[in-house]
Amino acid sequence: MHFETVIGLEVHVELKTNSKIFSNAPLHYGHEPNTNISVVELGYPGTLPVLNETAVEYGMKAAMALNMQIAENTKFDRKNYYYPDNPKAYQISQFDKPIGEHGSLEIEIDGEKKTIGITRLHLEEDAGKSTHKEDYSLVDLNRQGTALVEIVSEPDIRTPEEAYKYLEKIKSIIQYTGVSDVKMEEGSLRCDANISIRPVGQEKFGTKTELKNLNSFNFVRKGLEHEVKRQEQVLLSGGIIEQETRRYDEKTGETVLMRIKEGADDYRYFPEPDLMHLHIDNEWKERVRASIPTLPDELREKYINEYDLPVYDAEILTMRKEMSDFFSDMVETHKADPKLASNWLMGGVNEYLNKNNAELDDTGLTAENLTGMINIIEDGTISSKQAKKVFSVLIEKGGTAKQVAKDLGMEQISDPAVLTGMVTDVLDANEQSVEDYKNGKDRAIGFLVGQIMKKSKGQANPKMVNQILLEEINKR
Amino acid sequence: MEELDLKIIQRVAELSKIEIKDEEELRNLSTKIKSIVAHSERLNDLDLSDVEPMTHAMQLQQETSGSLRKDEAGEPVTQEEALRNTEFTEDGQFKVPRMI
Amino acid sequence: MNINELTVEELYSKIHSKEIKPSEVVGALFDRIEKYDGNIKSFITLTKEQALETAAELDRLQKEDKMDGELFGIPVGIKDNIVTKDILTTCASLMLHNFKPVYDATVMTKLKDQNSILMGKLNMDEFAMGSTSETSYFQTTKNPWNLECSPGGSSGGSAAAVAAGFVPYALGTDTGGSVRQPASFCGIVGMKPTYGRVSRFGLIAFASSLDQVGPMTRTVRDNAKVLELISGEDSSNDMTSARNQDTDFLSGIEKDIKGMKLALPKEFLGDDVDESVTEAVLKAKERFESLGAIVEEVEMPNLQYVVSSYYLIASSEASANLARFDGIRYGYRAENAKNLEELYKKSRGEGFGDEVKRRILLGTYVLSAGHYDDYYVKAQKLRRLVSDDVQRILTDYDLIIGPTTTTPAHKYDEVKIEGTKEYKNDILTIPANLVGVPSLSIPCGVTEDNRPIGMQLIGNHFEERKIYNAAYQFETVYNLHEELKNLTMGAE
Repeated sequence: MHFETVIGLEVHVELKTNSKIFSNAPLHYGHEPNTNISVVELGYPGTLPVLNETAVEYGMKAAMALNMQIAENTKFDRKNYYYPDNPKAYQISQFDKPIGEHGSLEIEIDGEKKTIGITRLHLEEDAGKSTHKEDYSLVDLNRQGTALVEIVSEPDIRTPEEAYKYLEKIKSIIQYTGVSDVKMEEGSLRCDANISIRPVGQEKFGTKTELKNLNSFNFVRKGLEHEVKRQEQVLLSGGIIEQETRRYDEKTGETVLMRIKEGADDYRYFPEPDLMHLHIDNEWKERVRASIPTLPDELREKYINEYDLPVYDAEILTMRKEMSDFFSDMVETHKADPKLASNWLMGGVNEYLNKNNAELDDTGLTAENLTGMINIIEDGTISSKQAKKVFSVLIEKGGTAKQVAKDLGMEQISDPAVLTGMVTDVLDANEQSVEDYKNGKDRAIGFLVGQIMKKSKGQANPKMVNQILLEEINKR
Repeated sequence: MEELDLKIIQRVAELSKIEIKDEEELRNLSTKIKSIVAHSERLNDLDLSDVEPMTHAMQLQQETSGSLRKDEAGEPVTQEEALRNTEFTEDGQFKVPRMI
Repeated sequence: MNINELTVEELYSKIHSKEIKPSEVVGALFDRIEKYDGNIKSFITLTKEQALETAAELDRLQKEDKMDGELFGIPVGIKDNIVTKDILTTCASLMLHNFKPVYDATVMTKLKDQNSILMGKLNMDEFAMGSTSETSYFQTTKNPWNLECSPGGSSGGSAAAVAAGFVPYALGTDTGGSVRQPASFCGIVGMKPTYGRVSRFGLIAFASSLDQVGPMTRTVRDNAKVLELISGEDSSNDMTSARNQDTDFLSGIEKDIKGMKLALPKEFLGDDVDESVTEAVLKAKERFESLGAIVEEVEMPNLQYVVSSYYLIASSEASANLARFDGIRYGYRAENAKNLEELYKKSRGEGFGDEVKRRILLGTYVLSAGHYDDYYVKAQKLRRLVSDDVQRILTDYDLIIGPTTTTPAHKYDEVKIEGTKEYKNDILTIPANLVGVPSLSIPCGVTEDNRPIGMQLIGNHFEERKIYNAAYQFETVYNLHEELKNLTMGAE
């Protein structure tokens, strides 16, 4: 029997505001426990939420970038559940009137484009963090109240690979809007998956399981792959899928049962009486819309169509805004050759960034100096081999390409007068070789070039040396 | 009217995380709740299908941007203040018994 | 001169003229509290030491003619569900018996800014749930008029303390009548302001969409003055409205009320209303007419449903508001809980009293799957109908008048009535909370056995000024000021 997989993703994104969504407590990652909180995050009796305007605008921005409709009237609701890192025992979230609905994004699998629907995006507050010890737990509320958007996809995803691409696309789009760092390793991007399988051709969805603890892009893919296999095995052996929550175990690569869902959770949602309803008028919407930069899909098309870049290049360059900004700057402002610029960014630059876990901003590179380097390679000032050394200085320390090459003493000798002098000297000293050449032994040229390069300590421009050598030798 | 039996009250107590000592307390709590719920059945006499629910004491609405809080961070409470109303703390955090 | 008989305004002028010192005021009132509060039991916590310290400081400022603040040197009592920095704030519950907040409620900050002196925290029904002050974990407050009677509730401690002359004014809170009903029972003036007039930041929430802080005083003028000082937009509570500018309630308060149109809903004098109350209100109607006002009978057809609507809404909100009391960060924590689940259940099961538990369970039931539409949504729809009723009446009339409660203060042994009948007493105060409009209770009579009767004046949103104007005029022809001075309170 053949099965089809149905996946829906719930993505949580922490917004990069200065203060919490419902209080003015500051936001920091990695501070001492319980120091980035106010009485609001402590859930102290008598405290009240006050909505952060920027959080709302960031939510709108993210929703707009995901092609969503923005609600004209929206509101907040209380979601009731007890947990030590949920200090009010309710989370302020949005239930029936999310700020964004009816969105979509496009992914590409093996050259085929596919649209994945996005049901909704809503604003809510993040919870604190519990650390579990042997027989007790510790609670740090620093993360409590961080502004969060939850983005829920339609069950349009059919393979773990599509899920991976979808997530990658969400990350890049949100990253472009600038509303979040979207770093999975810091928890500012989180993903849960709902997954079910059904016999091919069957219309009704199978029973779904919810998959948690997918802490990296690879775990999302691997976790889903394993869960597909597990569900297939259960069904093929005559079993039934239970509606349950499972956790991906990074060590075994398997999904493990966390709890069976007994009916639906009863969160007792009701309208948050401490917050007014929110009316979003067109003027506000348009103001926010105007602040959204060109998004990766549009840039990608531009790179392919205007700069003749291969699809692969365009995709890599548009994964992060810093990268495409840098690339555009090189090509548009400094007139770098697009393909050469792309080669360097996708090659040496990315390699360095990945290895050092760094951002472009952290390096000495600028659109100007990297373009400069490409230019002096092109005009023969430095060889591609030398360029590697120049590049590593530029990325570590900065500076201009020309100056670095000069400081490294690796500027090519391209002055015809100087080169002619060297050629003459070498020819004078090697009359036998000149003789051999004239007698038809072409290999003698190789030896002579070697001598000239040795004399110039490798700095002679090889192209010009060849040319001058032939001229001079023929004069004899 | 739905029979509001003790089982339902017990289930609601579970949801509310309130321990009920014994059956006497359970009965005592349920009597009053039942009577209010029964009294509320009167609302069913009314045709409310066209009435918009009113969730706030006034028609309160943030008109546009500008009436919300500006995104400026203030002074947080200190860790000492955060923890001072409980003796169950460790490493600057709240200490709770294991989950199960 | 008996300091305990002085109103806020009188104290203000006597302190300003240096006739008396703040420390004399504070000292005299503590003497009186020590003498009588053993009988009345209005205070949960006395802040004598801090009060004397503050008073000494104010004495010095008085001497130096640096008397800043509209309440300079004037003592106040605060209901114990309003948070006070570093001072026990218990909500009259075992759950918060040891809770010392790290911040002040906005109203508290405002009173401190005016140099008012906190005398202590006042008893109430636990978490403001109740209308007798009996559900307090600590003590049952007695009515200064008749020690066998309840002072009402939930702000029973506040009402009793003001009536007893322990403080010239107090703050209470009103979710379904909790300022006005005890004010009525204790023969004083109590205001439930427009929702959004006074910041709720620091008021420990019972029902967020209904709660308001309000002043409790012996005179209408004092009440207007205190409300003026605690109102205003607050960046910590976005439900406080920008429409708060008009807070000068005293100006124009003495204007005559000739031609003012008052509506008396016939449902406010229905079968449930005690004869003594009906009589007093009809007498009040005549007094208003003698002042030149026009009083007409109107209809408020949905009044019969307000108690249901209120209980469903208030309990729903309370079930979430009181969920934070879990024994982890503050408050009562059950001992020897084996796991988290037990910690929650035991802390909450032991820390809350019966009435609070009942309402939490009711609210949880109402919000739970399958019941939400039947109860919660219907209650909110009914709220709309009541709002429409009130708005319709206030289109044609300046104010709605009627009794504050269906009966005068009851004796403690009479209260135990089964089921919802007990809640009927709130039926007349609830509409103002559901709709968010201001309502003031003022005395309008006393029964033969010495139990005060109150009348409420309900205005439209943010029209407190109109209410105070009418109430002040009424007070010129009827008040209980002399009677308040002569309460004996089972002396010594």
